Amino acid sequence: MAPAADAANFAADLGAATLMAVATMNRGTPEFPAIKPGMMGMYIFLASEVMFFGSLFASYFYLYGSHFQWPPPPPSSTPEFYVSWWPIPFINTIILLSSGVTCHFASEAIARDNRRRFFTLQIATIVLGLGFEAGQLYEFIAAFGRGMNLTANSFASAFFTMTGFHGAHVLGGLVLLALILYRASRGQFSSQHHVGVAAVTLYWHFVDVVWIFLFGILYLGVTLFR
Amino acid sequence: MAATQVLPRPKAYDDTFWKPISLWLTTTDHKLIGIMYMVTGILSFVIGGIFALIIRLQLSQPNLKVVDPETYNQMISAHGVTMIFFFVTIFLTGIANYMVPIMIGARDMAFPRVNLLGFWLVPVSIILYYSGFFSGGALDAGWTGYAPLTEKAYQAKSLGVDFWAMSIIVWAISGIMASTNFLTTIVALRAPGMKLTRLPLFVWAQISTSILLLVVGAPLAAAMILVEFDRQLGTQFFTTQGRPVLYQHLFWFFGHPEVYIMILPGFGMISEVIPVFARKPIFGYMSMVAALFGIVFLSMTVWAHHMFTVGMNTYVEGFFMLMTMLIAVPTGIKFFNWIATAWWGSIDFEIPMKFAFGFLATFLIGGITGVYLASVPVDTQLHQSYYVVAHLHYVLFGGSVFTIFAGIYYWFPKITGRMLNKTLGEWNFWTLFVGFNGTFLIMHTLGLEGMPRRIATYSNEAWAATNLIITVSSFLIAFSVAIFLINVVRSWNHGEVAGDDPWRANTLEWATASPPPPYNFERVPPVRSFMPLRDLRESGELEEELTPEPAPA
Repeated sequence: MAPAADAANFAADLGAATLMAVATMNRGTPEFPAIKPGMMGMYIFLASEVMFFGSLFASYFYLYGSHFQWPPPPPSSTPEFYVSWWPIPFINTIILLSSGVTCHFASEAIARDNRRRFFTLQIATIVLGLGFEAGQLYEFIAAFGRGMNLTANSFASAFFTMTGFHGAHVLGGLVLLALILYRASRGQFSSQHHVGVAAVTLYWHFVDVVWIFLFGILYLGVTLFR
Repeated sequence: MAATQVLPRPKAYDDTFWKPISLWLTTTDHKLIGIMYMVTGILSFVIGGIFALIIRLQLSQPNLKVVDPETYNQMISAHGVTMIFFFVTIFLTGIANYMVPIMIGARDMAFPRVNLLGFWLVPVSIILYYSGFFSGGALDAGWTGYAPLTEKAYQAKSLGVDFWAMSIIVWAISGIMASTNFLTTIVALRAPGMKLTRLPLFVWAQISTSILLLVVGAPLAAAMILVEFDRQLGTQFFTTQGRPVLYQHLFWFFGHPEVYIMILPGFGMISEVIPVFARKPIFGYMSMVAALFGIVFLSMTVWAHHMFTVGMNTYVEGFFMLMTMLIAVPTGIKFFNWIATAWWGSIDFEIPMKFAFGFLATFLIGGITGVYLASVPVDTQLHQSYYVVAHLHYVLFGGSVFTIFAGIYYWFPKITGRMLNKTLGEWNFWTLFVGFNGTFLIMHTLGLEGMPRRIATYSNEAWAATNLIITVSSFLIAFSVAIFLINVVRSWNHGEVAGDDPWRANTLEWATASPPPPYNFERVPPVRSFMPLRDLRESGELEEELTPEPAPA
């Protein structure tokens, strides 16, 4: 019994240590208990976000698989009825990915107490995020102009729902980033204390990753593999 | 009963239950929030029970017209939604909110303010749902709300469906908040020495429940959002142009794990109650944990067994049939372990143990009928009949509700510092057990004879006698619940004083005062196994640990 229990204890502690390692990837010397609850909470919350977007993607593929032709034939004979990946969505992808880079290095900067660089990079992230939102808005308005709206057909419904929810998440991320910027301006973050920055950075990366899937499936997939 | 000095009741609880309203509204203490969750759950239980009694009155004889068919449809939907979303899940969240931090030796939950917000979303969700009754008719498509019955084309005249969808979205957000909080608390805030392999099984059950709710809560919210988009923005997801069956997939991907969200904490409570009253350590601790995670995994691969009659691919049906039957394996392991724990134990038939044994008896029947229903040919015959109703009530009432009663009788002394009355408890148990089996055991035969569920009335005279017995028995359940409520209200301030550890239990929550002070522990006792209190009692350290520091003059 004892060796088995020891092995089980070891395995469980290994698991806990892995969780702690994941949750404290940013530097600093973690004191006991090693897990920063704020960071851990963000990881767990993002798991449910993965499931949320996962359900939307699953619904999309269900609709795709159960339609004879996908996307369904457009109601009008406009040749460019559906969205194209070029140019704005592609530029938007570059913008959002760059914002991920600036956001990451902003977080690194505050971890090294480089506040000046943190502010520069964080403001750059917010500007890039706003640029992405503006591009999305332009795309939506253009699509509505072509008659492609939520009610047109299943593809259009899924397209606007998925990109719309992603856009709303970007907007939420921008609010969080602004909040972090405000708190930093009050001197609330340092190399010893920056869980808030790390958690928001993590969230921002998640939003980036979702966009890569959206871009690959809803834009590239539909345009290139029709 | 250890002859320890009863600590003075802490300041936050000095007043009676009703007085400090401002305290109840703003507290971030996990114990007060837990009590509010539990009270909300019990109130929903009463409301859902009233719906059930109206349904049973309507069905007591053929061709009755107690309520008209439209109202009847709203009643069955409200009964299902209330019991599943607002009673069982909410009550179990409450009891876990109260117990989990104490059981792992923590001061509070990891995110107390998220806890506060998560709780207050629950009344919002409940009020949203019942608003449907005042807007031209509540949801009338059953608690599952299948599309396209909920679509604008079929249900355009009332806002009931919209209120239902909104309510469930809010509920799912609240559930995700609670799950995030539980998981973070359990991983990050354990007391020194409380390794994962020393967690009480109730805490393990709460980990698995939280994982489930975290994973399936978001798909539920997504399904409801899409329903709402279909209705208000005109999208084409579940309309006749879209794919109505997609709704069933999304809903049941939540709906089946929800069954386990409602029973796993119950399993945890039974795993706490049986060892204490059998005076034996739990049999097979690690296999209990492994079985929990087996259930968590399998429960996410079985959802389409609710949809065997929608016309899926035969091989897909075979897959879901196999996975569903596989769930009987981890459940069987747990069942075996409970019986093995009680076997040759020195069993103390206190009320919690009676409910635990009642649970074992009724849940066994629910589990076995579940294996029948998992079989595609059998399910094709029995689908949409009262056999399914009988099965699900054996699982949810005989399972969840019996465990909830076991948990209440077990932990009420800790929560209030007072024992529940034993005589009333006996009456509660026996009337509930007889009433429950009288209601649902013969419902199986109605289903086998072909009586369809969710139909407002029937004209077959041959079913009259059985239905009358069911209705009478259902009122016996109501009588039992009334006894229970009287017992709780009477004992809250006037019951026998319990002391810190009336059951000679094993886990940390019994090592502090009853009710626990706002800070839970003056110092957390050492944890050397999964039964820390029993270790202390046997090594004679208990007295020393429990002696309070002298109060400042």
